[in-house]
Amino acid sequence: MTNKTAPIDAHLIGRAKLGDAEAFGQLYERYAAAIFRYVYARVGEEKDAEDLTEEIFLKAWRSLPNYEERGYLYSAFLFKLAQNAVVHFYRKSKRQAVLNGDEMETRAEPKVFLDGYFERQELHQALSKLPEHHRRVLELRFFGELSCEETAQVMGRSAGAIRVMQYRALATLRRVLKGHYERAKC
Amino acid sequence: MNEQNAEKFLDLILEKLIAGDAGLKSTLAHQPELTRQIRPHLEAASWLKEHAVCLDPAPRFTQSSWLRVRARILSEKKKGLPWLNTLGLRLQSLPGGFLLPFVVTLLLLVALTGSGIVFAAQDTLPNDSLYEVKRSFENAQLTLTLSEVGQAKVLATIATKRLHEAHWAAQEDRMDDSQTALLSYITTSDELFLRLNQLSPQEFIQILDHIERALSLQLTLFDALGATIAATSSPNFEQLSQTFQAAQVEFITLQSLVETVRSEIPQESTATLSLLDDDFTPTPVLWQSPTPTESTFNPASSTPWSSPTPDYPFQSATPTGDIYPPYTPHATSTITATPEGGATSIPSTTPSPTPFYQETFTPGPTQTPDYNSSATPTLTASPWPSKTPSATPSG
Repeated sequence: MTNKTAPIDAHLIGRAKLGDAEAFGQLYERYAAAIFRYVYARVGEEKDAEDLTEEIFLKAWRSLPNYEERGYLYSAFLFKLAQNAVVHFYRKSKRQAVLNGDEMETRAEPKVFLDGYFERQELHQALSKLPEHHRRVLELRFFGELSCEETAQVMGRSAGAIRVMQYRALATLRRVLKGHYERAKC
Repeated sequence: MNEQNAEKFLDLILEKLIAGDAGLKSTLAHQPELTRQIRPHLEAASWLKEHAVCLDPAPRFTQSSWLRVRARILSEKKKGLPWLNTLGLRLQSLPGGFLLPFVVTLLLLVALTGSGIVFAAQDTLPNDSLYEVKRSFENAQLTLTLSEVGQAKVLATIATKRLHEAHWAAQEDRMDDSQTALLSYITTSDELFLRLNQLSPQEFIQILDHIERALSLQLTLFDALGATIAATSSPNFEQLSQTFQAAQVEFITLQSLVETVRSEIPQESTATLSLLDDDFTPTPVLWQSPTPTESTFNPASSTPWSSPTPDYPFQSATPTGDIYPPYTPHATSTITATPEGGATSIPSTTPSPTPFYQETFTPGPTQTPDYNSSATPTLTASPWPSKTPSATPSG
């Protein structure tokens, strides 16, 4: 997902604006998995992530008449919607924005437990120890697979600021992981 | 300054890491100093990338969730016509209620048709200047068709048109455009499948004939397109071939559904078809169930539609030998589609006065195949196109 895809997106958006649902379907195919990963990392529940992903794209469809690129990439626009949807989700359900491991364990279903459960738990534990803006940069870059420029647009910062942020975020994460694995060894 | 370089270098490496670029190691080897500096960052990044896999959606999530999203989009489209908003018309907020969008669409349609633009656009292919007009006209047709049955008919027609465009574009060596048309065919067929599944049994029977005729024509188009793709030397052959396969899967899915429905119609229901469908011609029936004894219809049941969603039989249950007639292009031929109501044979020399799929649709000036196919298509679609010299594969 890079700026190279922007012309294709623009073409599909143009068609979707004319009411072509299949063009929007192609946009869905391009971005649904990335949006899902980002939302899943935030809400911690597969079912919630699925529902939210669908809601985000429905909102994107409804927003099409108002969307004008003007240098704002469509991927960034979608992730901005995703960000707002997650905030709304927590506001609505009055849940903690960051789930800790214990809560995950009580909520986990057997299927989730078998399928990458421990990795997800590790991921949540590690990311929850980062400052919020560091966490967001890493989630957008690694789970949303956005470029620095796209991440900058979502977060309303410059690309340079995002580079600095990701540099520091990864350094912090490395320290967190070192502590985590050293404790695990003991 | 050194840290700035490291940040930029880290970003470069991350782009490669996230994209799974094979040149990552050599890039690192060229900058040993910076590599040493960003080593902890890279370890953390690798850990994150490894763990990102556990957040991947379930294998068929994208497809299944898109079906749900699209169903909601379609229902919203019916109510609000959001595509008209692009013209700056906030129809929902205007007085006039529900009828206003239809009136505006109708006026636009009349204006466009009257000016001849729509007629001119009928012969266009994807990426032609008037192609969007053609698509908009089709969208308007769908919008103005109020009944579910009518919409399914329009969708079947549109799907056939897309396939015809794919074939036409392939003949003109416009492989990218052929692929675009094929992708549209897939989506339209998918939409049609969804729509057909929402119909009541009585409604389905009304359009069964129409859908069967559309599928019959599509089968011949697939045959011709497969031969054209197999003969191409396009660098996009692999991609086009994959899309062709996906399109055939859609076709087989639809075909299976129609076959299931046809096989589950009891004899007495067939007799009442003439009451339900003005176009219905009782004999002979184009699509007989290949294995009537295997019908799952239970007359005692109040709902004969025991399995509306069929399995995806990639092989015909009753192989009938070579079902693919040789592809013989005619230099001056036109599409000779099944005439309205005539469900049995496709005339070979006399073109139909009214092609069933569109009164206003006229094929382009290019060479088009003679759709002189077998009168009774079977349930097996063309095999995938291959680079083998045989251009007309047999079933």
